[in-house]
Amino acid sequence: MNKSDIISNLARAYTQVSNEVIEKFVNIFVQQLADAMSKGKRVELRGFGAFSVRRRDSRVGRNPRTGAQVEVGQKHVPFFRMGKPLQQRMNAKTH
Amino acid sequence: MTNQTITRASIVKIASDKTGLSKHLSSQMFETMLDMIISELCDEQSVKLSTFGSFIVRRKKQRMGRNPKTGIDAVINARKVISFRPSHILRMHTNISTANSSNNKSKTSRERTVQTRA
Repeated sequence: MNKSDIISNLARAYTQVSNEVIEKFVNIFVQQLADAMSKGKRVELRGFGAFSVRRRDSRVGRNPRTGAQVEVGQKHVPFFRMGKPLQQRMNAKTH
Repeated sequence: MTNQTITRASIVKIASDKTGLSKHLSSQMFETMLDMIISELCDEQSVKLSTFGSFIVRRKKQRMGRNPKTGIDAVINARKVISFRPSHILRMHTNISTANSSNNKSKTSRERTVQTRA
């Protein structure tokens, strides 16, 4: 499922709202998540999970092709941790 | 400032303001959207949000672990987890702006994580 699937599914469920507005709505959602994380903020969506930004310290890595050592600088990466209700729901059916 | 957590309420408010839809309807649509994403993931289907990233379901095998508190060996059952792969665009953005703010520079990622969970 991708963003356009989400938009068309929402459009089917909310026939009173125009497609343009629904598309805008979904884009705002994604943009809000991205903006918050860009500022290093945490986004918590109860029942789903939490997005945060984690720091990765600098380290010495290797060029996989040549084997040469290279310094990899400190960086910040987006991180998602799934929420407990989702974890439980996902694993309920398998047992 | 960095400790500020964003919740669905603030996202719904902004979406409502920008689209002109009522708060109530925006909130309903938001929940429907999340439910759609959740049920798709529960069916082991991946969800891709272009420019943001994708959610992929991974199956983890059963393995031996240890209770970190008591040190007792324990079996960790096979389970499914969601892994989030951020897009390159998102990676770039989080890296640039957080690297510039010196707020958390002295803290390790571990300390930051502990702090956000508290």
